[in-house]
Amino acid sequence: MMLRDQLEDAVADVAADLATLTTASRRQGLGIRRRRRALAAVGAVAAVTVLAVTGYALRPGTPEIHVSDGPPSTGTEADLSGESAPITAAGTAAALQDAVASVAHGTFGRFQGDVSGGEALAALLFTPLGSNGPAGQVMVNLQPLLRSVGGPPYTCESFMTDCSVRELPDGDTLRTYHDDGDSEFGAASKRLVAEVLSPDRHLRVVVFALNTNPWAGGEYQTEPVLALHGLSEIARQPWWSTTELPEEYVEAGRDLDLYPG
Amino acid sequence: MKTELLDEAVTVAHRPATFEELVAATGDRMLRTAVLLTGDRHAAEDLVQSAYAQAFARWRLVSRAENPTAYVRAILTRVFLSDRRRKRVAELPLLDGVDAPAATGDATLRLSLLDALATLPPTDRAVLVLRYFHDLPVAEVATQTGLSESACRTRASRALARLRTHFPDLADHEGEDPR
Repeated sequence: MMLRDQLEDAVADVAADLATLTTASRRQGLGIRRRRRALAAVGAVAAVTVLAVTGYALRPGTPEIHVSDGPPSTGTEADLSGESAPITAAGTAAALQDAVASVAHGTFGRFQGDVSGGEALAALLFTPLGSNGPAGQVMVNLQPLLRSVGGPPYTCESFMTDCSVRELPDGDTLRTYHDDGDSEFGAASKRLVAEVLSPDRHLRVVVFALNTNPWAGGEYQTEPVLALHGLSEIARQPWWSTTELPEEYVEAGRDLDLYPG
Repeated sequence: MKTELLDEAVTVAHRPATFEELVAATGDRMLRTAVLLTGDRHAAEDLVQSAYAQAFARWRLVSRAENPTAYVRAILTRVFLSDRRRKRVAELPLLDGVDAPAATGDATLRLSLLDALATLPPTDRAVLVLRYFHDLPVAEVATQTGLSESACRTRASRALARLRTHFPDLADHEGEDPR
């Protein structure tokens, strides 16, 4: 018997309740449309976007979410359609904004981005809710996992303080550390870094947060604007790639005015 | 009255004017596809609903597509393979007579074949279903699954070999069609 015939026979009695399917799909589809419009609107006014005023900001010294061994629990992934589009600089910035917003509350500004040389980079300024200090810069850098980085098991390097390395269930490695030796923004600047090294995806995702920003004029927050747990959640988003992004972010990026880098 | 259409039936020549028409023309076929992919009727209902929801959300593109059925099937395959679909399920059952005895199908065969399919990796399952249930050329199967054509052939051949351990009488030439 031909496989085609066997497959047909196997499901010959399966029939859908078309009226219910239509109604339920339409309802769910309307929800997708609403979320897309909301996301696009966030991008359009993203220069100064005030998010929800409830909850807490993930900063050192405040309660932090638990980073589980499971998939990142941002709450945004479920709202994505699963469709991808070629990566753009503005789309990467929009993706970073959404990823940050999923772990902390605050305001955003000065979006920057670049896609070149097989890498993508996006940065933004983030001011946690209730913060009195200057905004802190948050940046994501998406790179191919170069041979120079080596293969697993990954370890801490000499410049990484308070470093932690953890292998994730999917085979990726999560490495977090303090990089306070970087004095690019002054001796009082602090930088927290979370990076995911993924041999399977040939991808390195580096996310960091500062306690200041390039335009702060020597002012600093006490601590970087995101803590390691939040940075880890951002770095672990499964849709990071050097070539494409969820189409919702690319679409949102079209309405985003990037600040010159 | 339900309309049973094959894959190529809903094309530019018979373009559905509304989302309802598309679901009416293709719903049964999509659900059967989903049952073969998931091996589970409830999971299949979720999968089909997710696929149609995405089609509705981008109806302007779907309705203008050369083959709206293929468009929806591609969404369904992608959702199945991406493993990102929502966990929230429909409140209402979508199937007619879910638990009723099969009217025309062989229940024993169905369980056996679905069980056998379930032993395959999801991507292999998708390759087989697209290739043999939908009779798609290898190139289109490759496009929908994100594999190369050679990888599709390899996976199909390997999957068929595994199925033959349960169904020794599968025709030998089925895995060798170079199309």
